[in-house]
Amino acid sequence: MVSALEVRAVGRSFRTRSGTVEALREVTFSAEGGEVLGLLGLNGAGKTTLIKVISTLLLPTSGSVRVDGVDVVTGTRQVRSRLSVVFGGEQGLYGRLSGRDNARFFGTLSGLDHRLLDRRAAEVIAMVALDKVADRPVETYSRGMKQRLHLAIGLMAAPKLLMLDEPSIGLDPIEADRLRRVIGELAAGSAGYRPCILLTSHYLRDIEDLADRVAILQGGKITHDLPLKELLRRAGSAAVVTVSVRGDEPVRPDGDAERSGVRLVDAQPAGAGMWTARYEVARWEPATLTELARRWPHGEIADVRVEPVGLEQVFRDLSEGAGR
Amino acid sequence: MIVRGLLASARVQLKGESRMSGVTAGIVQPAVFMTVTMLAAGQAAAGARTAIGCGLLGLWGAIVWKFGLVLLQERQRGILPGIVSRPTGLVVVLVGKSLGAVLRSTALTVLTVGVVAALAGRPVHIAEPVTFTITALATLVSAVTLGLLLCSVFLLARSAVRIAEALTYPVFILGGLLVPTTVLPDWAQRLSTLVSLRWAAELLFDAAAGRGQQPGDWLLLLATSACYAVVAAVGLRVVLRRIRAEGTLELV
Ligand SMILES: Nc1ncnc2c1ncn2[C@@H]1O[C@H](COP(=O)(O)OP(=O)(O)O)[C@@H](O)[C@H]1O
Ligand SMILES: [Mg+2]
Repeated sequence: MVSALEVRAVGRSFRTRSGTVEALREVTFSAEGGEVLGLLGLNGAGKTTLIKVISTLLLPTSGSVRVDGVDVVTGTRQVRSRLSVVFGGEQGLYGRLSGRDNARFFGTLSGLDHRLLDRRAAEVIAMVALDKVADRPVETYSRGMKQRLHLAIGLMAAPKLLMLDEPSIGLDPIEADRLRRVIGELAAGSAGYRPCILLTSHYLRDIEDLADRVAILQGGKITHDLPLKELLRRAGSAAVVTVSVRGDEPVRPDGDAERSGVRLVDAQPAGAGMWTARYEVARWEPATLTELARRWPHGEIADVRVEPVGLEQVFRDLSEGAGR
Repeated sequence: MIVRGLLASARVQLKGESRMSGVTAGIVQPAVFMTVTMLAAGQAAAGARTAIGCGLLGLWGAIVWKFGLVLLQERQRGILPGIVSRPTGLVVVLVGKSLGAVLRSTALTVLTVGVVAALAGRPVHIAEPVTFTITALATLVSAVTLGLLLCSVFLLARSAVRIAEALTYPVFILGGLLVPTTVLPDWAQRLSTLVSLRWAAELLFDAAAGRGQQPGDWLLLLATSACYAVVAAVGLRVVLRRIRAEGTLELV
């Protein structure tokens, strides 16, 4: 069976006034139908360039890409009818037209038969929960609604490969959550089949609920390609939590710190009967709060601040892990 | 797929355009041209000749502006990646959208020209309506090939509108739309042989006057248009390939 996506030793360089930029170097990986692959990398790592090469917007300088067995250079048109790409941001829609008209137009460009057009547009719009606003001009949509519309449009022709480049960029946490839920449903087969989904981000948070596998792109190179579980295990903590407590000295971390996923980093008196303590947590979830409260049986938690661990830290953890 | 792509693109363009967008090019400009020409030439101006000249001015202006503007707008809206990454392709969309806009604008022009002529007490008389209509359609097709040729230039250059401005008037003159080509200097007359609109104008004048068309004019109209079409096809292919190779067009 052919892979939905096969990227072989792809390189891409750009000539600029100040010299040649190598945006991608020897990038190799593949992904199958029904799989969600997260592509994680800092800004400038080459994620968008890679997505453009796969979606036939840019030619690779070296190497080859096959989508469902078809080469992007020699079979450009066939590749274009097998994949969809959604770029993050508000651009790329006709503001004066309704969401439905946008979906119909891009569906036509994807080669969808006009008899299927209306039905398919209604289906994908329902899938992303935009039914109520489908006939309103897109310029009245919120950012999150526009992004979900992009996703719906990307699904019009039921692509074998769906690529989402930083889909939650610029969305507030609630909208981002909502988008993630829709992507999750898609991955589970809500569109009637299970496409291969390639999802890029520079936040671990964006893909940790969705991806089966994660490839890490650093400076145009894939440095890791591993199952999500493995990544989360090796990446250490997901967030640093700072709590302010009124009252006693903290209960020292006990034996089940490993199991509870909450590890005390340090605790200091902050004056006026207050304590400030920092914890590393493996995952930030409601149970974490309970666990924190359990550590302060005689204190009252006055404030909690959660800072997600940056990708830099994840990369550091990963490379330390590799060295160990 | 191509026909459906063209129709869908034209529909999207017409739905998305503001209602005022055809007014300047389609109504004000031809009305002014008509009035000025008739005032300047007085009774000597043949009604049909003036009207056809103004109609063609409107068509050519619309081609340059719409093909340039549509491309510019799609780029500004960030829609090009969504179009280029789909199998129907950029050319079909550009032609469909531009053509939709051009047709609306031209319909307005024809209407305006007719009304102004009638108000001036010199209604346009077309002696051979069937021949005239066929010639008009051929003119439209020819104008589109020229529009496509411009498209490849517009895709290469950021300042599409500047180019459009620079091109509008020379073609008016070379096409014999403002003044007969016979008053042009020698080199300009030779250059005007390459302008398909010149031959279209001659054919339309003849059909309106009912004096029989010159087969030579038809030959030159078809030959020049075919040349435009071939150069446009090759040009677009090369330009689109280059864009994909160099990443020069800011698609995202
Ligand atoms: N068209 C281009 N011309 C020159 N350099 C580019 C171009 N596109 C991307 N780059 C460079 O390639 C590198 C990767 O960029 P990009 O793929 O956009 O990264 P990401 O999407 O991961 O943030 C960056 O250094 C960027 O400056
Ligand atoms: Mg990017």
